[in-house]
Amino acid sequence: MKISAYNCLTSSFAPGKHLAFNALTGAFLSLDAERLDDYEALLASIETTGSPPEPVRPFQKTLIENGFVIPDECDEQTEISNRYHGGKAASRGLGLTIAPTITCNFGCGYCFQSHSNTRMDDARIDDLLAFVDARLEAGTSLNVTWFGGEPLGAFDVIEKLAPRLHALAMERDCTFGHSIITNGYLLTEARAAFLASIPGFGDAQVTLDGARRHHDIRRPTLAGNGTFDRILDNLVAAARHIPILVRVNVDHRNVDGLEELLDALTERGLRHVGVYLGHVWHYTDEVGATDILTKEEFAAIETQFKFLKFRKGFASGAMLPQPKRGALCSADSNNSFVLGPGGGIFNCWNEAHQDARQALGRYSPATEPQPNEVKQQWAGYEPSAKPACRSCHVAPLCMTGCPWEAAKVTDTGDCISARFNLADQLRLYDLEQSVALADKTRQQSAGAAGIA
Amino acid sequence: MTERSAGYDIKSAIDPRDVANMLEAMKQIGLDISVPAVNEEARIGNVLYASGGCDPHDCSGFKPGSCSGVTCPTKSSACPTEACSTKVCANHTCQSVSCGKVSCNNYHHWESRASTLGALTEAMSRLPAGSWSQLSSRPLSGPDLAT
Repeated sequence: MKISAYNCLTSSFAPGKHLAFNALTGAFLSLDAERLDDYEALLASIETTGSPPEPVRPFQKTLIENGFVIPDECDEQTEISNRYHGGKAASRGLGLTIAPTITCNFGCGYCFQSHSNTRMDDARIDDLLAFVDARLEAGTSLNVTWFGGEPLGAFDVIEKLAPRLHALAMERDCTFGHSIITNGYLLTEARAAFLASIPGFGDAQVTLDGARRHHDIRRPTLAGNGTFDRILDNLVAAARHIPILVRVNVDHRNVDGLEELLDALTERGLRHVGVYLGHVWHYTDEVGATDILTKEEFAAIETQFKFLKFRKGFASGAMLPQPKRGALCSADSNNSFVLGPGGGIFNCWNEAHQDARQALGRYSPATEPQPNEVKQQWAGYEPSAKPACRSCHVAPLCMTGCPWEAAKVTDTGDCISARFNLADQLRLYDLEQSVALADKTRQQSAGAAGIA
Repeated sequence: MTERSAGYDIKSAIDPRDVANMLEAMKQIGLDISVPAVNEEARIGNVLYASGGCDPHDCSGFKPGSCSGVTCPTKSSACPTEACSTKVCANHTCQSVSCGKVSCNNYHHWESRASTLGALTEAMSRLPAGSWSQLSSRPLSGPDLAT
């Protein structure tokens, strides 16, 4: 036998407790001192003799069953590749990112788009519905992300499309889901109520770039006015109808305002919303930001922010990292498409703002090459081909990360935070699970005492 | 945090002073998190995702290879007395589904969160603001064992 290349062993926040994680199987185990001895004895035995110690202790058997130690013939690199290609081939549902318009009412310095006044007209709406009608397989799923520009700048398009897309999904016995990415400035309560009225609404992702003093400089209207207060007012009203997810785009300039944002959300009764950090990055030539955090710096901030959220009574957002399977995103998925307002089909969100003439295909029936041709751009993508990724301990979790970024360099991928902060992610996950378990135990004890 | 052996990852971006503050607050409310929180026995047989399925312990209702017609459980361990939206899982597919436990936390009822966490938040908030570190992009402590 041999040792898996994807083991992580680390300490918990709780003294005397240790955590073991395998990135290929997703197994997560907590260890006391005795189990830690078992763990180390097993790996030492494998390293020196190629076999487990005799007799194999029960916890060592658990470790073997969970992939911390694997048979010699097991090729973990091949498994990663098989998961990627097998998952892609098995995927059936249709994923659409729809930009009703590319217009935006904000002038953010770090935006990765250039904005035109293009908006979807009725003819393109009909074309889009025909495209879905031709491609949605019965008994699968239809998932829509409303994107832009600012999608609420063409809310009438959403009002026309959303009910018809939902109806089409129902006719085909498909599940339907939709969500929206918006700057929040036009997210009135009535619009939130409409979105909630179409079944399957997930959440509205709204960006607040930290404290008001930072946000109003970073995300002003085109006229240069601040937007923080109006967005916060809108969130209070919208949260009565729909789940809200606040995204905070960070670079060196606004890190020191993150705690103020949490305090502002708490003051407005919004501690229940999800809040997460986005990494301002040079995705396209349009990005004008200069104080960009490195991947490692961002990972450090992300970890500290999750701890800060926990301390402030928010959900920390700590999730157990999950091994990937199948396509990485819309770009390399066989059946996900980015549909621009002018009839263009794109693969990546970073291309949504481009003119339809730059598109790889069109959803207008009169002019389209077949959408499958669009997908040839990423058909040969091989996540296990990057040399640095082949030796990375979190490769099963990211498979190179964003293919758009990974394609810019030859030897490495677009590294995810887990490459740098996996141990902290495990600690934070264990922390929330442990507190929840303690609470459950207390409630059971209180219940038992009440019965007695 | 004590280093045990090669491969034991000690690096962290969280200030040890903040961890000590949190543990002190836990002590004040009688909270012990040293008990193993993960029932690993429940994961055996599921973690390998042999057929592309999800962990049935966490995603009950999801069938391997097909998520059609799935709805979330109407209640969550995070808020056992209140219902979650049944829409929460509506846009999941087996390719994208996260097998994390269905939770109301990000949706409706975080304010009515578990009493223990509420007490802990309260205990931590009583510490002076200056006793907590500020967010920083400082390098992680400890060696970089990433690759």
